[in-house]
Amino acid sequence: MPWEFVDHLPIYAQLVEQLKRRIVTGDYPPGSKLPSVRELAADAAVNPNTVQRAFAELERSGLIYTQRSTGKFVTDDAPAILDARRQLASAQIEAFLSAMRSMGYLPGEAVSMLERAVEEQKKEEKQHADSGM
Amino acid sequence: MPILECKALFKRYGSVQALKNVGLAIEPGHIVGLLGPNGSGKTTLIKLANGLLQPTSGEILIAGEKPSVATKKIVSYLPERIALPEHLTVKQLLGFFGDFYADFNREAAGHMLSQLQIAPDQPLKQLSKGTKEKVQLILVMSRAAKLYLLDEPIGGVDPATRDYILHTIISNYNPEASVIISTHLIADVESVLDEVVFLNRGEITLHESVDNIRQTHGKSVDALFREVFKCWEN
Amino acid sequence: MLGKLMKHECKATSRLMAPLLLVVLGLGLVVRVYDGILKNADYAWIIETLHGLLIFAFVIALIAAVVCAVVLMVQRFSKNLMGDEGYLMFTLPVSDHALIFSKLLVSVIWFLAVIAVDLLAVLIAVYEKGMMHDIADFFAATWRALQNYYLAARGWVVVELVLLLLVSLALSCLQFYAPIAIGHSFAKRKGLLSVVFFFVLQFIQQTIATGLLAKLVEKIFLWNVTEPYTAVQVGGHTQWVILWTLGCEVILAGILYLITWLMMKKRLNLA
Repeated sequence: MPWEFVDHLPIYAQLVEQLKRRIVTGDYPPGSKLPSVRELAADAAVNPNTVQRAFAELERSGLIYTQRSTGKFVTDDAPAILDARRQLASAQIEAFLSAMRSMGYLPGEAVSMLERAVEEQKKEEKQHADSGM
Repeated sequence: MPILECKALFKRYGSVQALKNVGLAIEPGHIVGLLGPNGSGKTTLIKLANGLLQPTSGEILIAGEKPSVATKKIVSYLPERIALPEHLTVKQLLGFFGDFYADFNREAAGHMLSQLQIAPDQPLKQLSKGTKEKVQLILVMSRAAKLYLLDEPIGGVDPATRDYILHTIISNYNPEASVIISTHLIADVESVLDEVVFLNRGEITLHESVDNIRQTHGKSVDALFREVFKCWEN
Repeated sequence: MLGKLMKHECKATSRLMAPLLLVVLGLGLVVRVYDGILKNADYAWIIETLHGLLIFAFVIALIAAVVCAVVLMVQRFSKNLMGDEGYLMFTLPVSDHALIFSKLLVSVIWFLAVIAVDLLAVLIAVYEKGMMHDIADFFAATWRALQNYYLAARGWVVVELVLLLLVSLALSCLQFYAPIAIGHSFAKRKGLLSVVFFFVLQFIQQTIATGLLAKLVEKIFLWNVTEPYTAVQVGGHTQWVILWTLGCEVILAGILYLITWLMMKKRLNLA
């Protein structure tokens, strides 16, 4: 799975977010061992110090922990992971609302458009499922 | 102790002041970008660190010592051009490096050569320019040095080779060693750097971590560089 | 480290010199064999002409060996140290002295090899039965004659002559190293300036030498020609000349070495 970074934000911050995402989606399951700093740096083509900093940040937020001489592991603490999931989701929602606002939509309008889009998606999925039979 | 330190460093060639009052300290465990337009003094600074040039005034220190036979043992240098004797085969070059550098890891070098499918029994002169550059890079990176000086390592290579070079630099990372990459192709290496030094007409105009630059300026180092070194006026 | 540099230098130079010297020896042998064939009968003029050409080729080879050794000596210094390879050589963990000496010693070794092989090839080419005996007799007679002139010192004379040969060969290398080092300390026209400085240094040396030569001639011609000189006295003067030349060459070599080394240490300016 490729790592993608944008130009205008510090890489360590982006790494923190993307690692959180992988933990939340279960790509890195609870209790599993994370790649080593070196492996991750090579994989993401970033500086190992950056990875170190991202790991430190994640450890501070309680999502990962270090086991001496074995490496870093994803926490088993399910509530913490759910919490992180909620945080990421809120960030997405905020980003959506602020983007809509910048285009001139009121929050109410934004919500209506969102509900309509969800309906559309449901209809499409049903059609797809029916034609598949 | 900084692995590389410059104190009030000046270098003049005839009438040209190549470096002016350069003050710098690079700690071990960092990958540093030495960035600047052509002619800004990047290569001069690297040659001074190597002992290929003598300062006009001021000091340059490698792990606290002036460039000498002792510092050459811990500095691994990748020049901008092919500096290897071309009549030797790749295998003989491995022997050469092993002979002179105690920190040379022959197995690692051999492994990388086979990864890139470079046959060991070919004389260097029969290889393409790109392949020669790869051989030189492999030899330099297979040393367990304390300071790596890479002068324009990715200029003129294809993207796949560039990725391989950056991958090699990252995989070789050692908290006791530092890598200084001199380049004007910033966007390609930015993610690998933790610090950058901007050099303009022989003077240091910036020395910051990449994270700080992005945080403070809200843009990449490449974008900042273009702004700082803009060639035309609005 | 000097040993490793010399090993590398030998490998790099023997690619050219070893086959060349073998060719010289081979040609010497071919000349001898051809001579042997010719002696026994009369042959068509074309065979005789070929013989002439063969001798010609042999002489060319003898000279070529010397020329190649000199050209190679210059090229190894200017290309390997002052060219692109200098970026590698000067960042090796070796002293500048080791770099210079490795080139100097290996060049002198090749010069000696060329002299030895050329002599040997000529001996092979002209070999006649019983020649070895004649040569041995000649050396024995020379050794005895030396005794008349030098008494106990005759061993020393040989040593001094050998030293003189070695120092002269080293000096010839340094005559090129110094101007190359100076010429390459400039940013532009390195090759041209090297040639210019070669002639400048030669000129300086000639000027000083004529001064010294005058002193030497003075000493020699101070011989009192009226009294008969004993053989030992002549020998003593000759030995004095040898030692004087040796001393001057050593000093000159030292100066040129110093110039070369200082240029490399302080004013190295690789392109």
